[in-house]
Amino acid sequence: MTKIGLEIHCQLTKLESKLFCSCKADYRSFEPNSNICPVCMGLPGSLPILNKKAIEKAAMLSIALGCKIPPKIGFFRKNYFYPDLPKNFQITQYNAYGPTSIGYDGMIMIEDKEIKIRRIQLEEDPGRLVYSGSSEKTQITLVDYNRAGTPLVEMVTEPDFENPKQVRIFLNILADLVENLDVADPYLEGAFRVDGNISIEKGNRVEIKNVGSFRDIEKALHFEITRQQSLAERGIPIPAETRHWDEARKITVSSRSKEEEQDYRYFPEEDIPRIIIEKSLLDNLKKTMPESIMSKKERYINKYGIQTQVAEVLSSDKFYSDLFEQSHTERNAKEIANLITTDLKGFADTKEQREQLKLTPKHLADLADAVLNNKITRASGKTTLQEILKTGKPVSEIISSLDLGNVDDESSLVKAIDEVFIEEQKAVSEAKQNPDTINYLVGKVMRKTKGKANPSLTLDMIRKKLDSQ
Amino acid sequence: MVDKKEIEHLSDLIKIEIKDPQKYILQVEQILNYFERLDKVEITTEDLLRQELTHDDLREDKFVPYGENLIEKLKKTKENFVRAPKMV
Amino acid sequence: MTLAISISQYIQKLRDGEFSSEEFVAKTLERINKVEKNLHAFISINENAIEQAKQIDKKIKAKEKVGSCFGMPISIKDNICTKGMKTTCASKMLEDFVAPYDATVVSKLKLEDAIIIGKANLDEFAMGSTTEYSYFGPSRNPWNTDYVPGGSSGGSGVSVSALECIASLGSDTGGSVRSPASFCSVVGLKPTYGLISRYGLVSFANSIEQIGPLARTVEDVAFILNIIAGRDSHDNTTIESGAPDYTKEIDIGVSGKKIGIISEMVGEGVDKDVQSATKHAISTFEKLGAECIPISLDSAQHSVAAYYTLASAEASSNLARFDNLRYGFDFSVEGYEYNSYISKVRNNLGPEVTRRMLLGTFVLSAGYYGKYYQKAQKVRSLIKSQLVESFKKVDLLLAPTMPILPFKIGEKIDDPLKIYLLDINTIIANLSGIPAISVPFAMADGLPIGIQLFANSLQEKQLLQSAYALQKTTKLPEVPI
Repeated sequence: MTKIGLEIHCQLTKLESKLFCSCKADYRSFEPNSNICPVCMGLPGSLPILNKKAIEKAAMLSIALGCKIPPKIGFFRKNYFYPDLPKNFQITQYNAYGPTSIGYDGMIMIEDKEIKIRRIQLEEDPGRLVYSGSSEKTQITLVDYNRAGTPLVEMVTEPDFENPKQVRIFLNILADLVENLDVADPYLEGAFRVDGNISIEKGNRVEIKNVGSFRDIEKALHFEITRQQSLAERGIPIPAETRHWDEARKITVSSRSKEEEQDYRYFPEEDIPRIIIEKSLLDNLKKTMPESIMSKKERYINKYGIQTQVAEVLSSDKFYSDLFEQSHTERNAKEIANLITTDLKGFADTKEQREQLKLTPKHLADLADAVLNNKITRASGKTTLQEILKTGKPVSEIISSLDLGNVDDESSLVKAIDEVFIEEQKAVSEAKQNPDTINYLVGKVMRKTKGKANPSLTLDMIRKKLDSQ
Repeated sequence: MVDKKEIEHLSDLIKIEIKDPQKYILQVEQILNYFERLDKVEITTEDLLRQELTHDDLREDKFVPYGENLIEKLKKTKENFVRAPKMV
Repeated sequence: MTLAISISQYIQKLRDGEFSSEEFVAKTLERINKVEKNLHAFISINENAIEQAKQIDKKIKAKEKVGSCFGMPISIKDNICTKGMKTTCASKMLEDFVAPYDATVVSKLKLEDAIIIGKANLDEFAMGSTTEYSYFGPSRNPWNTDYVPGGSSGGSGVSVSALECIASLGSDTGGSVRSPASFCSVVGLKPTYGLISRYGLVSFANSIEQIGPLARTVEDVAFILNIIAGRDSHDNTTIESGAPDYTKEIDIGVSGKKIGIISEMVGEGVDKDVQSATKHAISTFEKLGAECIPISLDSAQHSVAAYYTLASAEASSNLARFDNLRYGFDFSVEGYEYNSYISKVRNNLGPEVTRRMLLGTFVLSAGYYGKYYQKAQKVRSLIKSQLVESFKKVDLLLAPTMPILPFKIGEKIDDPLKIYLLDINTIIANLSGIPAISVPFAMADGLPIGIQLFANSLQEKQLLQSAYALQKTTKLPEVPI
């Protein structure tokens, strides 16, 4: 059985300031070393000052992932030397001496699979290394600390994934979740980083690091499974090691293996007292936090009778569910849900499409009502939608200008039907014998009326005419 | 428990080059032996000492620029990077 | 004009026009010039002191608002950041480090128009009890310059005692304010943990240490405490204290107070001169109307082991940032690989610091955490709970600050454990966070003996009142240098 586990680092990009100081959390637009202060530079005598909102955002994430939250949380030091680490220790959280991180023992369902979340922890991002120098002698490393201290949550899953597809689905749900909760924009460069660990049947565990985009993780995992399987087939044991993803060559490469595991000498960070997580805080968060995907989905199914598949698509995309919330009434909810998930999807998926979207909630509501009121057929509805996306004109205007309005009155229909009966004599006689083939005639009438004929009325009238002949 | 190998391991973790580990072996061992007495203490008390704060006591999430060009006061390159030795 | 005055005398005389701040500061600098070659209390002197004093005199003359310090010269231990001045921690690692910001306590003093006269010498990174571990050489006891002044805030004790400043800020991790106070015959206070901001204090053992004032009188210490105490948004470990006025009612006396004499600290292992001074202090208190009863703190016997375990562990992490990349001393990275560069520059840490880094790394390393670190934390809690119990029976505790008299420079330096054990009387205050003060009380062979008082957390007022009462009964000689 293949076992895959994930370690996800997500920056809390929706925060204004860093985790332990008031420098800007989003470092991306700054000149080198201009978003720094004594604290995030690790100057002698500096002390960390915890960001209140970081606790709130991370707690919301824990709640949404079904995690337990301990009554008091604490921070630990992870000690190691690296030039991007200003204090040469990272302030993080650690549960080996008891649960003190912001979340633990959570779970998320993807399709029918239970993925357990081992823990969620708050920690600080290090700075960035820039390499320079060409010859052996003059090569040095350059460091920019603008990113040092940026708030991160690290989420670790149990190795519950059985294949890379489940991983992809999970990551998409997770990305949507952090966006939905207003915790992070996972599409910002460097904001959402995924490491994986994978073992195939009877094989050792291999860690995969440095997967640049979370879309690449599926490729990396596929590659790795294939690599491990081919080793196993040849009877070669799979070494437990760390490998990194080579973006350019699209392969995993063995990192320099360390003879022993790093000893991080974790111990409590005493410059930050324990933080009491009061029940009132959690209750407040639950009340004010954006509705979870799970609960939205349930609401769509139970309250509006929306199909499960449709509800799933709608609830897991914040943009679409917002659109739904703003446009629907009790009556047209199901229709709008379908409109969004079948007709709109594909045309409003990317950031640019969404930014330039001419379609408004009112459009959707008017369109859905027009279909429900039999003003236009569903087929015409599709056409109308395309027109809305192109021009943004109001629904009523489009219907009349494109002449999409249903042909409801019998007299116009009679004309069309008579014409079809003349043109399709063979089909007519067939239909007399075999009533199932009437739909062919209905279809012809629809085409003649450019899809505007009321299908049920048309069917009725054709039947009557056949009977009368 | 403390031999040359241990001192070397510790000095690697703490990144201090120790030119004469022999000098430290005896002293460190003597002091660690002194620490052994901690093991024999019978303790049943709870952890009384951890300071605690409520979430309310914490810093508001606001961006406040440091206000001074801090990098000018530190070691840096012309382009305001900090130099570190090459990583192998 | 004499420099041997208290803070309230200084303020009085200055306001009476007996001297200006500039004159007093100039006289102080003269004094420093005269005695420093024999004492070495300072690592650096503030070159702008006179200029700053002039500015304050100007303000006074123009009847503008002046801070409560009126330009008095104060020395700051060189592990506390002072903007624009070197902050070396008496280490090669920070030889060239000019702090780009002021510690909160320094800002507060400056706001009250104190003048930072210079940075006081210390054991490297505050690790030591004799100031012999300073990279810049030891400080010397003004009562006998062949003798140690105590440590790690030796420079603070010396500068106050030798009239090189009117008061000083030191830091106390295991007794480092009280030990030099005792050995130099001045008053030194370690406040409740969390009372004073540590922002700007270069961390050594961050869950244990506190900045503390030294001065020649208890009242002066209270005056300084008023200025530097208080919650700070730059330090998450500072606590609410109600901001009392520590000088108010300082002379209220000790009538009716119960004082517990810590039995474990007055018997075996204590110098007989120290023992007799302690007995004298006890009878003095009794004459003043206090009741003295013996109190046993049997957990105190484990305090040194617990302290050095925890302090070393914290130090090994707190000092990791000294990699000479962003700040430090001149040593290029060209031609080096990362690990070898870092290890090489950190080889400049002194032997005591290195020892503690090794110990600290060991006790935190894989497999040993439960045995040493966690056990030490539990012992720490035990000590605290025993102290809390004691304070249900008594108001204050008493013990000699140091179990022995000052000793010769170089005498104990080859036996680190022996030096550690000198902290045995002071350490319980650090481990538990309670405040403690050393009051100069007696002399033996011309060498000072200090008496220590402890109070429960945030009971500084009571502590200062009893220390004041004790000091009032003393008549000690003037410093011989």
